[in-house]
Amino acid sequence: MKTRLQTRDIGAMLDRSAAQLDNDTLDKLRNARRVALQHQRQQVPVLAWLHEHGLAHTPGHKSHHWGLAALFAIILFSGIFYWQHVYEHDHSDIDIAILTDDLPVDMYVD
Amino acid sequence: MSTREQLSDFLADVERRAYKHAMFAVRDEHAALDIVQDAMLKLAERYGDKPAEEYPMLFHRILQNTILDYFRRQKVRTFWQSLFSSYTPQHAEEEFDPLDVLEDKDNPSQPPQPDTALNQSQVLAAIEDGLHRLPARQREAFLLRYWEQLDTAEAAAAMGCSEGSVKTHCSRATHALAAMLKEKGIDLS
Repeated sequence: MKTRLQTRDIGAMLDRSAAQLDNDTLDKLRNARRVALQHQRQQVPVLAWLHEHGLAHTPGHKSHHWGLAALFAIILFSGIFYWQHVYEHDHSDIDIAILTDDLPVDMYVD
Repeated sequence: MSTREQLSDFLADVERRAYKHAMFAVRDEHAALDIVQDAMLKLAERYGDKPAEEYPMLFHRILQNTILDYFRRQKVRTFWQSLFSSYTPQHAEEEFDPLDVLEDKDNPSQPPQPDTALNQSQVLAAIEDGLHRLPARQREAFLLRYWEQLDTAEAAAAMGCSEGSVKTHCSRATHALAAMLKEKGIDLS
C-alpha cells in the first residue's frame, strides 16, 4: 500500500512538526523575540504624525519624500527667520543703551 | 505603521517555522537558532517601523540572506580548518569503516521498502529529508509558496527574483520532491 500526499498536505505536516519543537528550543526562540523587540526601530514622531493625518504614505513613495523635503524647508526657513530676528533685536538693544548712556561696562571688555 | 505588539505577534507566529526553515538549510540546531535570532534582530532594528503587512516578505528575505551568510562563513572556516588539518595527524580518534554504511540489499532488517505503508512520523521524516536535499532556491520557493502561503508575487519579492523564477523553482522543487518521496513509497500529487 502506498501513501498518497498532496502539496498542501506537506504544509499541514510541517505545521505539525513545528508545533512539536522541544521546550528548550521554544525558550530560546522566545528569548530571541524578546531581544529583537527591545531593538525595534521606532518611527520619527513627526513622520508618525504625518502618517496619522494621511499626509504621507508608505516609505519609498514619492509623496513621502516631498513631505520630508517640505518639512525640512519649513524648519530651515524658520531657523533663518528666528536667527535674523534675534540678531536685529540684539543690535537695537545696544543702540538704545548707547543713546541712553546705559551701556554696561563689560560691553567694552573684549 | 506597526506597533510593538504587531511586531511581537508576527515574530511569535513565524518563529517556529523560521527555525524549521533554517534547520532544513543548515541541519544544525545551534546554528539554526542563531540564524533565526539574527534575522529577528535585523528585522526589528532595520524595519521595525515598517507596516506589518510588509513583515513576511522582509523577514523571509532577511532569513535567507542570514542563511547564506552562515554558509559563506562556513566556507571560510572550512578552508582554514583544511589548511591547518594538514599539519595534524589524520583519523586520530575515530576510524571510518565503509562497511558500517554499506547498503546490503539482501538483509531483511533494511528500512521499509516503497510498497510498505508508512506511518505519519516516517512520512514527515521523508519530507524533511527531501526538503533538506533540495537545492536552496527550490526549497525556499517551495516553502514560501506551500508552507508560508505567500502568493507568487510575494514570494518573488521575498526571494528577490521574478515571478517566473518562483514558478520555475516551485515546479522543479515539486518534481524533485515527488521523485525523492516516491523512492520511499509516498506519492506526491
